[in-house]
This record gives sequence, structure tokens and C-alpha cells, in this order.
Amino acid sequence: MASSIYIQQSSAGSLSAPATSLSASPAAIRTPAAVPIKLTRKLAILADAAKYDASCASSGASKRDSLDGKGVGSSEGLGICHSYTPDGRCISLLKVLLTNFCTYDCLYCINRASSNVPRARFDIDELVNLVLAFYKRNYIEGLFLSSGIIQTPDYTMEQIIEVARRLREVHDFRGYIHLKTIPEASPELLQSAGRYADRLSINIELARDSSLTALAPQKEPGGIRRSMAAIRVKLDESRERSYRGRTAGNFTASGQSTQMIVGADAAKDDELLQCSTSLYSGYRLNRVYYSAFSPIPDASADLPPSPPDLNREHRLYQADWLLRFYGFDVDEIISGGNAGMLDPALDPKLAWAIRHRERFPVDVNKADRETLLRVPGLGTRGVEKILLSRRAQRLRLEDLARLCGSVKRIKPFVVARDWTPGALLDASALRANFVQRDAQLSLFG
Amino acid sequence: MNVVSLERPDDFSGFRAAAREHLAAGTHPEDIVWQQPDAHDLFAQEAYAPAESEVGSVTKTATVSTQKARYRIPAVSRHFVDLAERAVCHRTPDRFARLYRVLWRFVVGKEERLLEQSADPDMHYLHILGKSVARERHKMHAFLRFRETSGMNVEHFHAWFEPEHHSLRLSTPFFVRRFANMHWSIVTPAESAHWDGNTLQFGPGGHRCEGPAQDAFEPLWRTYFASIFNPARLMEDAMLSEMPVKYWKNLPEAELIHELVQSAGSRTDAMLEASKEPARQPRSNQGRALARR
Repeated sequence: MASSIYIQQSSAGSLSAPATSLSASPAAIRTPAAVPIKLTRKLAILADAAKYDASCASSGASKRDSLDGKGVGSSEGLGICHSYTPDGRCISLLKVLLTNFCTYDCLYCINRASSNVPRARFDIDELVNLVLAFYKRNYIEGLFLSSGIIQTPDYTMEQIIEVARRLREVHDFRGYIHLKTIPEASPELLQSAGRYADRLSINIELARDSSLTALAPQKEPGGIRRSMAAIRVKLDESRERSYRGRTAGNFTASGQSTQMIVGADAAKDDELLQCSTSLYSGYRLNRVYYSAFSPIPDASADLPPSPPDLNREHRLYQADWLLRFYGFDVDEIISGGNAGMLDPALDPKLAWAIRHRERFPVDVNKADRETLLRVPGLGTRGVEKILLSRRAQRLRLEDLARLCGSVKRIKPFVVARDWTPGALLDASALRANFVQRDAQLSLFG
Repeated sequence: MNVVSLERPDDFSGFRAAAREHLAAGTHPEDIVWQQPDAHDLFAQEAYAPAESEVGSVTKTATVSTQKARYRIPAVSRHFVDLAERAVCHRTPDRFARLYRVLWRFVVGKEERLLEQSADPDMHYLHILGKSVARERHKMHAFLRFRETSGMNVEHFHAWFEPEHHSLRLSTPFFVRRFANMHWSIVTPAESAHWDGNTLQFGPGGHRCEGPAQDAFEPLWRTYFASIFNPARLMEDAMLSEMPVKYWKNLPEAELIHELVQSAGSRTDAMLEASKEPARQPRSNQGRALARR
């Protein structure tokens, strides 16, 4: 390796070696005297420790700016991705752990107690100042703070909250704050976290409770769900109107989210999607993230790493979208695949449509919104545009192309003023055609 | 022939005032030349060089047209005004002419539903312009990087950005809302914006080399960028489609990308291999021991 701006990920001797490996790195050479090298190293360790959490979203916060304040920060609903790493992921927030010391020993986790990764801990003001400095330079939308469990869950939670409190109260920071809540932290602390944060999250980790028990012995599925339920109650309370019509407000405007690891156990896609469905309805979650089980430095011998199944993760996200915005239920989505797994080669909506050809073609000039949403290649925005445009004229295929960008995928499934798919829909080669095309387009090779 | 001279390449209010007059008079789209003070806009200058006798100033046409106002101009939706405001920031020379043509069809041609017909070719064209300007604005909000200017009494920040369209004025209100209590300057080749905590002022364009050459926090930002990347998930195309190479020269973190991509495979292999070696090291449980202190 030519240089290592990142922490060396060799497992052997990682505790004693890094100081030397880093001081020789280009990053260190460029560091001015004002920034102590210690901070560079802490940041490297604590960002490295946080990167397996997929969420970086900063959308949905209450609208606000700094015009009437003393500090910095604004939020306009839609979050901004300030950079992209070569894994194609967006950097919206400074995503770090307060510390990666941890008393828990979750086998899939880079920070588990039995791992030999280097450890570090931010001082609270050190992290607060780093967030402000990054924010003022327009690198980030805000902070996503998590932590290893140190001493007790409540103590850990208090430390996390203190970072958010200082940002908000001492520095009048109006950017985005996402806090990870610690399982089994007290309800009073959750309340307090929700006052400063735009989003709270707690990871469900695994869809199967038995897997969680086996892989994360200190975590308890019931405890995780109790925390989610407590946050949900607070969210509901804050939105409830009093008899005077006031809302309590001020509790995590953009709600709560969670993350599920994909591929660390034998759970199939239908189990994961059923789990998501129950989380969306039971705890009114805004978002479930799917994170392909990824190799980590110093992985546990009891849970050997494998290359992350990014394609499976991608299909799950597509399916999740169908659940939330397209009126599909899990059984319908799964019916497009085989034996509880989604078709790896096709977008799940297309896979469903090919299995249900009797429902097509759909007339774009007559069909209702629900029916249009089920047409492969038509997104929610495309459907809205069709509904609006067809009031003035009967749409032809070229109109569809202008409204939806491309009609290649749509063509076999729709009727327009000058178009019927005819044999295109019946062709036994329909699936094969799409699989071939998708393979060419795929990012995943 | 009517010539409308606009003050700036993104002069929406100038366009709006002139368009109102001409629409009321029913001036045909092909009888107006929209002239913008844009040095790069060679096409517009070459396409039409009016003889002196033909040139009517904005004021002159305005007087003429109020006298013979023939058409009532109906209200348009806020949605359409937003679209028009974005579309005039596009760098294409025919943006004003196309926008006027749409309005002319709407007012004079009595195509009452035109403005909501995204499938109409003229409307579709405006949407393409609007979308590309909105994207550029979004990318400016995302990829602009401030550097602290040293030697000032108050904290002052400076940024250099090269927008693809005339979108500086459209993009700056966001920075005012977000960084209201900082003093900052944003410099582009054509124009610059300056905020002193109270007022926003626009000035002439500048050069890349004018601002600070670095910032004390850029090394830390690069450290973060490198550390948050997971080499086992390399997906270069996904990064490129969201962060095209043209933005890289003003992003302090971009210099790391090449090496991160190059080393991703071997780093991943090393992690996978390491776990296959049996009993490399005794389990220290040091994390747990320290965390309990």
C-alpha cells in the first residue's frame, strides 16, 4: 500500500503500529500545527468505526435557518449530499462514534469487545468544534453520532446527548442532528435526545430474533423494540394537539429509522421484508436501511466475512420502495421471485409484472393512479405527470417519452393513443430480454 | 424588429417586464430579439446584428405597446414562475425566446392548458432547462467549499465555484440562510457574491487563484473522507454519476479518490484472507476491559 490516510487494516499489531503508519502519511504531512495529530487519528478511527451504518440521510427536518440566530445552520426539508465516496455512498453528515470502546461483543461488529481494532474516544468539545468547523466550510449537513457502550447504557446515552446539547444550546447550531439511541437507555434520556435531534434511530440489526440472540449476546430483541416503542410514543405525543390546538412539538421532526444487516444469517428476503413491514406499521418508522454484511478488519472467526451482496441489498431497497410508495404488499413482491427470495436479475416490480401478465397492458389514458403505479418503468413522479397531462390530450408514446424519460421498459406493458404492445407482452422471451438489458446496465457487473 | 436589451444573463425581472408589454401588444415571437450582455454568448450576437434603424429600446417598445394593448395577460401559477426563473439562468442563448414563445402561445394563441402540459415540446424544453439549472444550483449547494481567510478581524470565508449556468444569484439565498452569521464571499468567473452578516452584494467575477490556497481543516476532512469509505463496497460508477469529474478540481477530498479506488481490491482481499488464518492472535478483550474503566 503506497500510503495510508486511512487506518491500516491489517489485524496484526494494529494497536502498536498505527502511530508510525500515520505519521508517514500525506494527510499527516499536510496537517498544520494548529490541528493536533491526535485529532486526525481519532477521527480516522471513529469514522472507520461508524461506516457500517448505512444511513446518512438528512432530509425531513423542520424548516429553519440562522437569520434570527447566533450560530450556523439551516434545514430546508431535503438534505444535501456534500460528497460521494468511491463506494457510491453519499456523505451528508459527519458520521462518527463518540467512542469505539464497547462492552458488547456483537460478532458482526467492528467495535465488538473482542476485536483488536485500535480504540479512541472524542472529548465532547473536540467533537463539537469539529462539527462546527466542517459545517462552516460547507462539508456537511450536520452530525450522525453513535457510540460503543461504555460503563452503562444510560451513561453512554448521556454522553451522546451532551454533544447534541452543546451544539444546540451553546452554539445555536441549526444543522441536522441524528442520534443513535442506546438499547435500554432510560425513557427520560430518550425524551432528552429527541429534544435536540432531528432523527433518532436504533438498529434492529437482524430480522430473526434467534439470530440476534446468537450473534449479539448482550442485545435483546425485546429491549430494542421497547426503545422503538418509547420513541414512537414520544413522537405521537409531540404531534398530538392539546384542547387548545397546540402541539407539544420539538421531538425529532424527521422521526426514527433503523438498520438491518443482510446476509449475516440465513434469513430470506421475505423475512426481512415482513420484519420491515411490521416495523413501519408497529413503530411508525420512517425508514429501514438494509446493510449488506461487509468484511471488517479483524472479523470474528465465529462469523467469517464474505464479500457483501450488494445486488441483494439493492433489490431489497427497491422492494422496500414498493412497500412504502407503490401499494404492494410483501407477498406480491415475493411472488416475483423464488422460494422466499427476490429475483436477483430483475427489479422486483418488473419481476412481479412478468409473473402477472394478465394485468397488462394498462391504458395510460384511462387507468387510475394505483394501476399506473404498478407499471414497470413508471415512477411516482411519472404517474403524476401522466395524470396531469392527459387532462388536456390523449397521450401518445412520444408524449410518454417526454414525461417519463424513456419508454423502453414501459412499452410492453401499456396502451397509448398510437401504441399497443401486441405480441411484445406475450413474448416468452420477455424476461430474458429484460435480464439481458439489466445485466448491461447493472452497476454490479 | 424589436430588440429587448436585458441587464444580465439571468435578468428575469427585465424579461418579465418586457414580455408583459409585448404580450399585451401581441408581438409575434419571431419579431423580438432578446439581447443579453454575455461575452460567451457568441451565437446570439452572430445570429442577429440589428441595423440601427431597427433598434427599438425597451422603453420605446413599452410606450408603443401600451398604446395598442390588445391582449389581457392571465395570471400564471407560482409553479410556472419558478420554472421560468430557473430556465432563464440556463446558458443556452435561446432561453428567453423559447420562454416568450410559450407565453405567446398561452396568451395570444389562447392555449389555456399549455403551461401544465409537460408533454408539449416547448414546455418539455423549458422543463429540461429548468431541471438542468436546478441540478446545477443543487450541486453548488453541495460541492462549494469555503476556506477561511486569514488576517481578518472577523471570521471570513471564501469560496471559488465555476457554475455551468448563470445560476449564482439563484443559488446564493441558500448560503445566506445557512451562514447568516458568517462573513463570506463566493467568487465565480462571471460574478461574485458577498455577505457581511447583513447585506448581500454582487460584484465582478474573479479568478481561481484569488482566494486562500488551502484551509486548516481540509486535511481532517480528507481523513474523514478516506475513513468513511468502505473498500469492500467499491462502486465507482455510482460515485461518478453523482459527483462528475468536472467538480473535482474544487473539492479538497477529490485528490484521494484515485488511490482509494486503486487500493480497494487489495484491502478487501486482505480482510477476507485475514479471517481465514487460524488463531492469529489471542483474543485480548481489550476493548471491553478499557470500556469498563
